[in-house]
Amino acid sequence: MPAEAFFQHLLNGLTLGGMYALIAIGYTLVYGIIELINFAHGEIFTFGAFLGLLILSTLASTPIGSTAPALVPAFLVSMLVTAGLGVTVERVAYRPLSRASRLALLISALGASVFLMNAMMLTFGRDSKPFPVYLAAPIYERGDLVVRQIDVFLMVLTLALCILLDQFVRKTRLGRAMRSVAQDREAAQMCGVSVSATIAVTFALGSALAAAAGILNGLYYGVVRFDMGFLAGMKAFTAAVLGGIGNIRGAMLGGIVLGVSESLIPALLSAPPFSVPEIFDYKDAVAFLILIAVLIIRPSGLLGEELPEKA
Amino acid sequence: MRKLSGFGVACLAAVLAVGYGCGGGQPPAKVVSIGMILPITGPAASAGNEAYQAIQLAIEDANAAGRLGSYQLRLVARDDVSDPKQAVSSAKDLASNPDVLGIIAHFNSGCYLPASRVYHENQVAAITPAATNPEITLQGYPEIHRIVTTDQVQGEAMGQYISARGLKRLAIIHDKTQYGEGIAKVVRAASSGAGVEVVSFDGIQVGDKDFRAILTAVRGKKPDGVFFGGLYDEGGLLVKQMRELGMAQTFFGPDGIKGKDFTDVAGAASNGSIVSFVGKPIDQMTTAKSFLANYEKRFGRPVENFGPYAYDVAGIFIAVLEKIVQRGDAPTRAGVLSELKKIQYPGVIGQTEFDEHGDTKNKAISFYRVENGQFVFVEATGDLSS
Amino acid sequence: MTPPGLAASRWAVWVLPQIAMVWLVAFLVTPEVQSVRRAADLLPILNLAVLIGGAVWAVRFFLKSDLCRHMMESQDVTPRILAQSVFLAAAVLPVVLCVLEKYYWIHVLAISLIYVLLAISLNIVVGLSGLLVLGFSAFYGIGAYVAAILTTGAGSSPHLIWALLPAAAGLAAGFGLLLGAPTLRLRGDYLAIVTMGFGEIVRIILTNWEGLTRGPISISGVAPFHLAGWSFNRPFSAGPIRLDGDTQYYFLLLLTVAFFVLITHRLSHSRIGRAWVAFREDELAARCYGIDVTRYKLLAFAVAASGAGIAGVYFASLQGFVDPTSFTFLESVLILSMVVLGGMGSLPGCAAAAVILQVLPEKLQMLREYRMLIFGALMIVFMCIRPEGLIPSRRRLRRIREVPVP
Repeated sequence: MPAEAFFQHLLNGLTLGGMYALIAIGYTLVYGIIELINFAHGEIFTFGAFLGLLILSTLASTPIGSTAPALVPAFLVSMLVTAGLGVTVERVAYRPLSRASRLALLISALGASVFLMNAMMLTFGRDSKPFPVYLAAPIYERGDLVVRQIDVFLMVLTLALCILLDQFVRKTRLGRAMRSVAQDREAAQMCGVSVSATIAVTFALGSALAAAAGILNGLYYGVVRFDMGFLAGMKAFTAAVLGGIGNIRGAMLGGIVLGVSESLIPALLSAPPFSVPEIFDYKDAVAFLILIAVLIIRPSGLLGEELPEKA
Repeated sequence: MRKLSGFGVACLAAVLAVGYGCGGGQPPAKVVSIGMILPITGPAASAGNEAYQAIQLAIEDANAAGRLGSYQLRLVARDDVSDPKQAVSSAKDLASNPDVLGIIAHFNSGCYLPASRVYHENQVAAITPAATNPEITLQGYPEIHRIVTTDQVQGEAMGQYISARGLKRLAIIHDKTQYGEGIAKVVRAASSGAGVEVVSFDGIQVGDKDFRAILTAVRGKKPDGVFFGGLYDEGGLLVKQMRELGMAQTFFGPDGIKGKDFTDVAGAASNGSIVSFVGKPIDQMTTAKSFLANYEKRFGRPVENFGPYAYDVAGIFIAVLEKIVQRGDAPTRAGVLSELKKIQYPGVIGQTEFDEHGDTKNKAISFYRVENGQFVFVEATGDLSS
Repeated sequence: MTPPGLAASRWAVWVLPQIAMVWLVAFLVTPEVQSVRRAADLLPILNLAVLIGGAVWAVRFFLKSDLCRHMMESQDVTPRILAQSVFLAAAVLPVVLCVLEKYYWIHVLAISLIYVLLAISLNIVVGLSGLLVLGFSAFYGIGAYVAAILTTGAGSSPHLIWALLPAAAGLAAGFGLLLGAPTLRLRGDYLAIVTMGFGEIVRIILTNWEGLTRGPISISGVAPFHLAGWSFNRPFSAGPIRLDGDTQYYFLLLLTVAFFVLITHRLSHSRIGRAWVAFREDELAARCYGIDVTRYKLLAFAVAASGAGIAGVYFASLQGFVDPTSFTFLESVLILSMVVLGGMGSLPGCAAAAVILQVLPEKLQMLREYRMLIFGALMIVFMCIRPEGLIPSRRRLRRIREVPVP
């Protein structure tokens, strides 16, 4: 395989992985704090994308409309409002079940997912909506390799958001509160931490990141649809588990690893010397096989801790 | 205990009374029903809804004009969500309803194929406005018809067209559905037969958005053109990502591509794409003009793909029923079926007549090129008379 | 207990399920509202409201009544008699529907029975053993494709279909062991994600291995069940009543479900079942007691998978075709919902939830595009109101009552 093609696949993988990472963080945050696989998270991602589309379309008629700075309010407003949606979902669908079994929570999450997806279908329509074009110009081209502005923007923003979140969780008071509630809820309460507020903040953060991922997804592919959260959510959740569910840095790592493997491995296999025919048909299976392989070797995920069995 | 026995009996009586009283509700005697099963939600909802609206238009116009004399025409609509299981369920629902005399059946070939057995077992006539897979009419069921020609015809026309434009190497991608993979295979066979080398044949997943990996690999094989068997959403993303990866090859697609969604999703990247469609070119036909205008006036958007076909399917059923009623007979399923086989219907899409398999004799295929976000007619093959 | 109370209890056990069956028929045959032209067109909605409201009121009234208390405490009214009564009602149900010529609902109910089988099987791993499996549709799909591949195509014999039941069960069980063996060490949610991956891998293989499965192009012409030359597909007339193909499948499925209920009940009340519950509650303690957790986990996987495999064979034969879109992750999640909504570990709960989750979306068809929206909302509401499920298992009830509320 020529070097440029290899780097193109690598670039594809990194951008894809970045988006997975942002969504995966949301899954891992929620799981860490209330031990729930938040099925509705994929829909939060989609909602953020649609909101971004709405804002950008409205701004299009204003002076700064079609230039890059228009992205700033789009990101900020969408992240804020989507955070609100995440908190609302927690309040309505999960909080009433805080003392019920985990599976009851899971089914409620599923109901929330179905509800949100259909609500978006009815509100925004069934067809694919084109996303306005920003930052599409190519920066660097050599042979088969094309690097566009959006690729760089995506990777930089993803990195920035991940670092911000990581510092937030590690250094600030709210971050410490989140970690303490995730570790031992009763002890945290005894230390004066408001559990319900902390949970709300957790959902807000995860949802905001998912919204950012949604807008990035819209910018990158140029299209949004009401059901785009399903596949993306499933992959991102796999990434979160791959990195060790409950571990934020694990989610970031898992996302990158998954994205890169998904892009690179089928490409390498389809090129000489392997030349496996129709390997791309099995592309999604590759992601899951990697997951299974990792979990067999390290049952708690890449960065997960070996927690003792809860009594 | 006495209270409970009395209570129990009262319960039973109430349930029976209410249940059977309303459960036995029949529609008033002078109503004739046609069934419809289309994807109103799901991945093909865009096209399904256009067809649904066209059918509603046809029914309303027929009732307003009093075409069935003293009978009122009613549409019983179901959603099959493009899911074969749901399609079979809805098919059983309508087929076991004795009031339904004919069914406008499905958009996806993957749905019509399994449901066709249900229609055959219940001996109710079915016509599809859009399902193009050849196997459907090869099963030998007399009830099964279609108003569009098959992918066999369309695929061969496409293969010939590609070869005629001088392309030597063709890459083929499909969406792993009954329809997409089906027509991709026909195009593969037809173009190879016409001297074009098919350099790759790969599948993508419906709902996926990232095709860069597969396109980068295709790019390495240096094709002159790319054919995609599938629907507008994935088609639009494919051609868009092709351009982003610096691939300038012409994009070819079948009837599933034709629609505003394709040009919306792909934007400027869609320009220059070639799309085939079943039947004669609608916008060129005088018979279609009033329908197109009426549709746009009623629903606020222009017709994009299968509206005219659905309109004609409804029109055929209406014409058949009209004939039976005017003869003074009571409309029955058997009557509808036998009239259907003989009909020569001058509709919006031209003359429709069914052959012994239930396929339409109209085997024209039109080709369109995308220019500035619009589908512009290029040429057509097949018998273009009438 | 006074003799009148005893007699009334016995009478009630036999009659109540029949009343419920009549209610179900009334519910199913209520016509849908097409277009509202006169006030009378709204009558079906009123009918439904009365049926549902009346049922809720009647159930609450009954649960508080003396009769109910007697039934719970009586040793004569065993779960076995109740089960027999329910099966009797279930057997009469399709005949009533045939008389009314509502064949569509028999089709829906037959499919519901397939899901009852699936829910009962999944209950063994999720409900009884506490192993969260998210890829259950894989085994279902394997069973269906075995039936499809071996009864169509060159050199196949349609008469194989009976033999395929144990064959599919065996093959699915084998895959169950294949999934279970390497995942024994995995903790709860990791197991869930791995099983989800397994389910997806199986689905992707089914979609892409065209040489074996014809890929996305469905395999049609799957053989119907035969009995001495009579094909279950053909309608059967018994006097004035016409029993169509779906009805015959319904009865076949009912027998199978009864068989499985029996097996599962026996298992869960045996040493095996107690072992399952033991390591569901606390794996470490179970090991300390000398329970061979590995063996019982594998057994749970194998039994559950074989049930799903058999359900797959029935599904393929009933539908007459198989295609990979019937075995997606969403399908697995649907089956899981049935287990949870019914009450984990509880057999009647799973069965009831399976029927409701198949019948309700069909009944809600009149809502058209709002159907799934309302369905999702109902799921949330139901779980919040009754998180222990429809009919929670007795063990769970005991547990919930014993735990002191902080």
